Amino acid sequence: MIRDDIDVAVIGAGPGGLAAALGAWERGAKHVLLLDREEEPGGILKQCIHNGFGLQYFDTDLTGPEYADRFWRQVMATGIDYQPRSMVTAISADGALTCFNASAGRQQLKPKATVLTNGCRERTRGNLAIPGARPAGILTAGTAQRLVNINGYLPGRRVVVLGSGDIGLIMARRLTLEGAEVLRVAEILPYAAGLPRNVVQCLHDYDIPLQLRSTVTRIIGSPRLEAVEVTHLETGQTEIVECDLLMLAVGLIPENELARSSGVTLDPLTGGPRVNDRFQTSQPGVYAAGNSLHVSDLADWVSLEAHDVGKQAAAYALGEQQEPVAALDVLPGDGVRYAVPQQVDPRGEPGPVTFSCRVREPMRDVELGLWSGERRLLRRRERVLVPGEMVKWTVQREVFAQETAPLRLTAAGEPFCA
Amino acid sequence: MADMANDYDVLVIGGGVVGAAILWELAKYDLRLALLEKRSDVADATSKANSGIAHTGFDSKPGTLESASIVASNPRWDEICNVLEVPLQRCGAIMVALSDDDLHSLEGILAEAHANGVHDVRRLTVDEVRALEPNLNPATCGGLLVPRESFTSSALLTIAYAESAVLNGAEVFLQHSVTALQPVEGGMLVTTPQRTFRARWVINAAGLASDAIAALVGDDSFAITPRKGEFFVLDKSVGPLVRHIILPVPTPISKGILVAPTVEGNLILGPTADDIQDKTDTRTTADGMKRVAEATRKLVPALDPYRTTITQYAGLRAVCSTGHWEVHPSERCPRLIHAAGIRSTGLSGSPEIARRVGEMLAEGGLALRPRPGYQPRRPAIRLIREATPAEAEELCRHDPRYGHLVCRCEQVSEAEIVQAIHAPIPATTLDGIKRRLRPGAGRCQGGFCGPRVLEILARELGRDLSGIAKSGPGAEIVTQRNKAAWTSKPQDN
Repeated sequence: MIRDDIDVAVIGAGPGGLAAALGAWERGAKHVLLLDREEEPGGILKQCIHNGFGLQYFDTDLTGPEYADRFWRQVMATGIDYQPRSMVTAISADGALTCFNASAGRQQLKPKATVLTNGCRERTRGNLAIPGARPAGILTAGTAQRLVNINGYLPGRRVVVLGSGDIGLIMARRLTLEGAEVLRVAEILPYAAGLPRNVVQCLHDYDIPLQLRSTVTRIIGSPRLEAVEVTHLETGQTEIVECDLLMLAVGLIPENELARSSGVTLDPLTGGPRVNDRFQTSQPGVYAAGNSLHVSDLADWVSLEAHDVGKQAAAYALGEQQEPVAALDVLPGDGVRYAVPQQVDPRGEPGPVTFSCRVREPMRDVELGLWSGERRLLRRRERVLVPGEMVKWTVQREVFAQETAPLRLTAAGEPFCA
Repeated sequence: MADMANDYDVLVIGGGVVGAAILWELAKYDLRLALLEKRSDVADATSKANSGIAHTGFDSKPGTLESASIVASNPRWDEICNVLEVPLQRCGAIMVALSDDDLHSLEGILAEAHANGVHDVRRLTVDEVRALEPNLNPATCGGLLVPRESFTSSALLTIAYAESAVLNGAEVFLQHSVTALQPVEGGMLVTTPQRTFRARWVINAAGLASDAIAALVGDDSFAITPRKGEFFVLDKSVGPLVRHIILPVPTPISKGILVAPTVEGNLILGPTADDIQDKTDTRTTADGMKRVAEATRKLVPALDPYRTTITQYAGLRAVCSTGHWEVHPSERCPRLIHAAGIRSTGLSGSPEIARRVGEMLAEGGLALRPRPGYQPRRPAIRLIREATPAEAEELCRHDPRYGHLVCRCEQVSEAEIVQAIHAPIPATTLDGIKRRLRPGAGRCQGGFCGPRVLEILARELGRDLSGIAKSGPGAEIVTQRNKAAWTSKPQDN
């Protein structure tokens, strides 16, 4: 039996999905179905017991579970239907979802619109092809976080962190607080990948060394990790560091398994789906937001974006969304790694468009530019921009309403090592 | 009835593909059987880390036992994989010629294939090769088609062999490392740290350790050295690049690094062939990976191994000092039968090796009477990812845990994991579960499902989380409770 009474299905109940479901409800969707693979809503927020959440969205400093709880209370005050322990495995060309549920079994759902807010995954040791043994004691930072904060167990007590992504920095501090010794964080780039505030609060404050231009080149030990070889890229100097846990914080990739297998067009630069300025993917009625679209550094950005996308999905479901009139591609130009959305409708419904992008390298005295062909439409100055911090740029549609050439986002400034 | 003192008629040492095949073959007969494996699982060494190809024997040395065994085994795979419920992909292989020299070599290889009795191997024109495999190197100038070269899973086959035997009364003892062998009247004593077994016959299928087992009875007629093979596993997104197993033309220097589509839809690239000393050294190396990448990009230029790899591994083949297989009773101790020195074609020859070992036992006086009530079928765990919609609904109705997907990348449910833990050969480690069902073998490499599988293992085995390992003792995922680091000293392992 196919359930076809759903206006908007939201896949994943993390900071994106909770906000998207609320947005859809507020926009007037009657039946909003929020699906999550776990029992409790909140997604990865549940294991993020550190603070720093909510500064943008709630104007207050919260832990991850507190942040999730704020949303959950709002959701419970609505008629949003939450279905836990559910994993969507396919989206058909006509928008039908195949979902596996721990009590209902295999379900077929036919929502009028779907929002993908299924988060991201971590890059692995396998992705990096680090040579050596394959022992126990190599975990991604998020997996280690889950074991420590949810299960209550330590995966090691002498720790080397590879990569300076935010979860790795947070977990370096967390393991230190649990009595483990975090020996160093090795980062292949000449600057930290994570947020500057995390470098200060998680490494500097705990005297954990950050070793730049360095990477792990060999894994030693079996059946358990005994040491890693750390190589400095410029000097070629190698060092054997004894440890029983190698924690990887080497990047996040949108969890695009569902989008990919469903034939949604992906952007090779973000790893997530390509979307237009309503955050609709290449498949009509299928929307994407948050980390499943492009990886954010703050949960607040995810929620803010997803809240709007939930509204867009509801408008589509209610038949109140205007058909696109025209389409302009949005491209990352000089100094910019990617841009989202990847397409805008210059003559679409009134209202601003918020572009998200990241710079390629840390720079000072930056000039951001929005271009159409060779013409600069808009510029904005920033004192400092680093790749770890996403740039949000809200632009009025009038700025590009008359354009016909693709839009380009650029960033020019003086490079420096953060 | 002196034999009554024996616990077992036949005791097999080694739970790799050869040992498990022998156990499976002998379980067809009314015998008391056991297998001893030193590791925590069967298929945990060479048999988990190879290419998984069931060869035809087209390129083996004519007239050898190896050639005869592979050629005799190949036609049986459809039936064997059917009754053991193991995946088999009759994808065929194409040997690709990239130069005039290669084309010339193909003639010799073709003649050798026919001499081996593999008569369906044939030459392909360059147009035929391109039509079959459009992504090959544009320099391709011809090829050989080997239609029955097939892909299966060496680990799944080994597990299935062993489970089939267990379902028919055989016993498998894991973590039993043989420390002594002693011939006694009418049999042998086999000692492990846990106990001493008594068997009429003992089979040495100990792979890399088979020379050490032989040495326990003073038999030093062969020595085994390890030859390392390194592999890349690539993401399923590039799986469609090839449809056949793609082989290079062997050169005097390299026998060949291949590209193969796996039964699961990934590609594997490899192996290298480096003779080493340490029989436990399964480390991958930067140099080995580089050679695999270069060699396979020569065959399929669109391959980008470093950007599309999800994992890498290395396995060790058992290279025998005599240069050939050792499948015969030990001259020092006729009740010990070697099935040893089987370098890299153990999977491909395993049914025939097992049959020959059975013959040797019969010649030695062991009566092979059909086992009453023998069950040839080994039911595999039903996989939710392979179920049709109707089957999936039925599976979920039958066991709601099928609706609880634990692994996103490979779509594995809790029901499957629970079944594997309680299977005839129980999976008790994360690697054991992964080998059977693939959670952790996909894109995220267990990032999400790892802790969930850990929890299920702990629950089903009635252990604390700290008692669950990646591969076996000493490889526990978590070692102590939070805060314990403040109060306890590091423990000696």
